Amino acid sequence: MRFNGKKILITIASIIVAVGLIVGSSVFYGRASGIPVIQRFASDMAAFFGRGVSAPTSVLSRSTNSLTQLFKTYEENQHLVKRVDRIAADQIRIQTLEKENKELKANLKLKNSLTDYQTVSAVVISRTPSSWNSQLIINQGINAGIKKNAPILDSRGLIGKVSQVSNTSSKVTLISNMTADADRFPVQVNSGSTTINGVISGYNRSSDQLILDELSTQSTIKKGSLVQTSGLGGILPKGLYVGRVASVRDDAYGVAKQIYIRPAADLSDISSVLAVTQVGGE
Amino acid sequence: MNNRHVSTHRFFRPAIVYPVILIVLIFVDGSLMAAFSGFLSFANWTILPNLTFIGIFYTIHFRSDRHFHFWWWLVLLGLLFDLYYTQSIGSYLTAYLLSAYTVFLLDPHIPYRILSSFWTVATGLLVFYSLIYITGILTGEVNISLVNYLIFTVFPTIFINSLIEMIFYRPVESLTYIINS
Repeated sequence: MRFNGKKILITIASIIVAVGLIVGSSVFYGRASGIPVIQRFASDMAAFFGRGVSAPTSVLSRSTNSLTQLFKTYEENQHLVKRVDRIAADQIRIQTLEKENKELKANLKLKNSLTDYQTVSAVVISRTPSSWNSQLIINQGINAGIKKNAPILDSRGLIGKVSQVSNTSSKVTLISNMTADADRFPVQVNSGSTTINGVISGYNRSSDQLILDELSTQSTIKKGSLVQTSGLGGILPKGLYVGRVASVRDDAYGVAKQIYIRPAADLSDISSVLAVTQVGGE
Repeated sequence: MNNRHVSTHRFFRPAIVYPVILIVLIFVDGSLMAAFSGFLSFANWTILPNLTFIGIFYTIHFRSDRHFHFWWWLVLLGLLFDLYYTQSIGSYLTAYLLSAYTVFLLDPHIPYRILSSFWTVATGLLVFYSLIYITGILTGEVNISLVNYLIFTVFPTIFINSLIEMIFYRPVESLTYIINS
């Protein structure tokens, strides 16, 4: 391959155009509240085909998982039998508390709060084949009432939030996605009578733990304490279960504390989710 | 391989079949990642399915690129990937184009054998994932070091995808012959 002046000029111009397009579009999507109509149409069409393609792979995956789960069943069964009685007792307690909460809200004339939210179920049809861009594509969008920044949960806890939404599909940025333009998740740790607010600012891939810093106090945190969304910032509702405290360590400079959280949800194995469509009195 | 004659069957025309296959492969990559993410990501290791690139390699290697507007379709594939999976336009478009061009330049100099094709695919994938890393830096998405990325993601990804390419080499060669002749 020979290089002459014209070819070099075309190469340089192509590089400039490519870099401009990549950086420009990244900045645009980071700031835009919605996506252009053409892209929405393209995303809907792509999601339609994606659903068709994902059907056989999902069946294959379910079969493989069933086989893997079969080996774990006996051990799990023993463990779960012990918990069933406790769950029944907890359910009765929750019902009583819910009733009491409703009555107290009525007394205080509180119609809606950040802990009230409605959900819609969705199926994961695709996942970005990339090592850092942890995004899922789900089969529900604007038509189902999903908006940008809507929290996404699986059966065990918070997994992320909607970053882009089209009519029939949405892109979900996982809680483990720590890219520069990804919004941080404000959470709180409840340790005994102490509540500590902070922001999830990192993810340790090897230990599968979220890192919480910018803590509001330096109080002592117990291992195993519950972590939930704080509702601060107004994007996520309060009280979505995130996980449990795995450890508390000093940060890289030894000045502040960092809390390591084991997420409740298995972020590597998500097949169906719940999208929060309404929070409080929206 | 004689690829001069083109199938007259309406739905077997290379100009229809190859673009459709390549587009489907883009969705297959994502659905494989969603369905088997537990197997594909473990501890620090991540294996990224890239059947689309394998399809691109077969298209160039078996000279099927002469039967349809390959490079234009490649632009469309890259755009589709960016729009569907990412939050920036141009990353995968550039990566697919340049890695395909690398294969296009390299392939005629490599012996026409299965084992040799492993190295062509590996080189193409190395170019592909290097470009993805560079574009990731540009958009501020990269959160791992280059060394970790190469060791824990790129090399296992290249190995597995090149292995898949070798396994399907003969069946795809036969299929290509049927479509092109």
